[in-house]
Amino acid sequence: MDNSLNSQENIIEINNLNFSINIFDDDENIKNEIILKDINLSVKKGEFLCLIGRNGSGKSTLAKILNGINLPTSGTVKVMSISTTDEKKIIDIRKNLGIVFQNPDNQIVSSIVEEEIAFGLENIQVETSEMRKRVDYVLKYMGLYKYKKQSPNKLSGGQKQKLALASVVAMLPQIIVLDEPTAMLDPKARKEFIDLIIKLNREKNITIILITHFMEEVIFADRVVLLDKGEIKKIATPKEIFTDSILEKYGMTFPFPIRVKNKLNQFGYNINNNVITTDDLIYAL
Amino acid sequence: MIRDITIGQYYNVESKLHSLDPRMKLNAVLVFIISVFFIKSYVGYFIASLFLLFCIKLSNVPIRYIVRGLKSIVFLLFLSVFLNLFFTEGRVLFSYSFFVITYEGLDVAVKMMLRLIILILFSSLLTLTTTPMELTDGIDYNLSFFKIFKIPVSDIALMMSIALRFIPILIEEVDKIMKAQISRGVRFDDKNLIKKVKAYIPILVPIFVSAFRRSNDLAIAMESRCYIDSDNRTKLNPLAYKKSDYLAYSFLFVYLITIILVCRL
Repeated sequence: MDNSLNSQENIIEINNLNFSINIFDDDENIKNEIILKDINLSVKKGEFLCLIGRNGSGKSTLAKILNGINLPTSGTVKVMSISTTDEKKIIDIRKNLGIVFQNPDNQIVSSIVEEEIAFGLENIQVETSEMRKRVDYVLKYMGLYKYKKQSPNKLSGGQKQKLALASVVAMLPQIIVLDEPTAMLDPKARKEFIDLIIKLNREKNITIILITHFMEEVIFADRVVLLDKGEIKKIATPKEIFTDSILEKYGMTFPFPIRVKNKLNQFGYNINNNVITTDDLIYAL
Repeated sequence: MIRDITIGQYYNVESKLHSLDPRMKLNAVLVFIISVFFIKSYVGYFIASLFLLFCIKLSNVPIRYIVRGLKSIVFLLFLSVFLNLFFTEGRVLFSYSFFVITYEGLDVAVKMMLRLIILILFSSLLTLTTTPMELTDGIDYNLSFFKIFKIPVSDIALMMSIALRFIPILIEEVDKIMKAQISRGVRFDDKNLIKKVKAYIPILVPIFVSAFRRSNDLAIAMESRCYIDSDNRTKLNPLAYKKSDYLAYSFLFVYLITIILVCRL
């Protein structure tokens, strides 16, 4: 998988990114706090990238830096060869890089489902007829068509988050950044949501950057980036990262099948290191 | 369910009045209110009431339901009747010690009462037949000429619609915080008024904090979706006048002509 990606262009390029903010400490003095330090990362078109790390490791800040909400203190961030500091072209970046945030309630603007999906399109001045086509298509694709005239308040948490994703997808972005989108969902809704993301990645070749705490979601990624205290500690494939002890060192846990595998190996079984998913494990056993 | 609370007093039925364009309804209310202030004779009030009754009939809203809306202004109604009845000078109709009722006073009082009732009923008809969303949309279109004076009409309309969306969410949150505070021993059923007011402070503070956090999140989410200003935006469902709206306009016009003629006589 990695080799085939190498031949493609880099859709995101981050060079020597530093980001810090000034905060007041307990004595009312201004203190410079470093959030991100020396980040170098490039993402290829169509890639599925996972960002993991503890709370406060700078994952969400990185997401907001990618679409120019936060500007780098030093270093450059280029999305589709456009720098995020280029104010005139920031809309081009935001058109092509959509973000889904953690709390669906706080990112839904409209009181009607279809109007919500249209919100972004209205902002980039899509024609009414074209907008109608796209809204209906996206609603059907996401399985929300029957709710189109309803209020988002009547949807379940999972459906609300799907709506937030749908309204990003409607803008036909090249990249979708998801900032802990499943944190507030129940396990079933979480699985449905992740399946939808994988579908978007495979069918529409949309580059996915998924920020998550759930290691089970990391399995589907092409590459995993481990952040800690604002620094990249490791970039690897899920297989590599799950056979490394670095995860536990930075406060993460392995997904369930890996934990079972490790325990079994401790007890003298010899299970292949390639085991990642539950199916792999069952097959190996 | 707390989230089912409807904002405003929209009455959800299908009718000719419900399906009219919100701009048309807003304009009609404006024209009607102005016309009522010009009416001087009882014939005029009769015509205005006929027009009102006709609109109520078209709206499919039960007349009882509409009249219930007058409850809130009963006090105002009595006050104006009382003041006009006893404090207007003129030919004496009836007097008992220092109570003096004059012909002119009676005339003014009755007219004032009619005027108030007609105005309230007609304008409540607007909110009964138009959803808050349609209403903001209509206001956005109708007041767009204020943009010449650099008044951000579209922004205000968007603010109104966002506020409407967040009301049920905040109500739910108040409910949650209230329960959390009750479980820690705050009493909301205290008879003492001061204690009762004080009990609400631990609700207001967290709700404000959370509302600010929510609005910050929402602002970032809106910006991420290319929102810059609300002037240069296209619409998914642009308002468009239909045949029935033109019909309604012509009907309004006929009413206005009649009123003007009656006032002249």
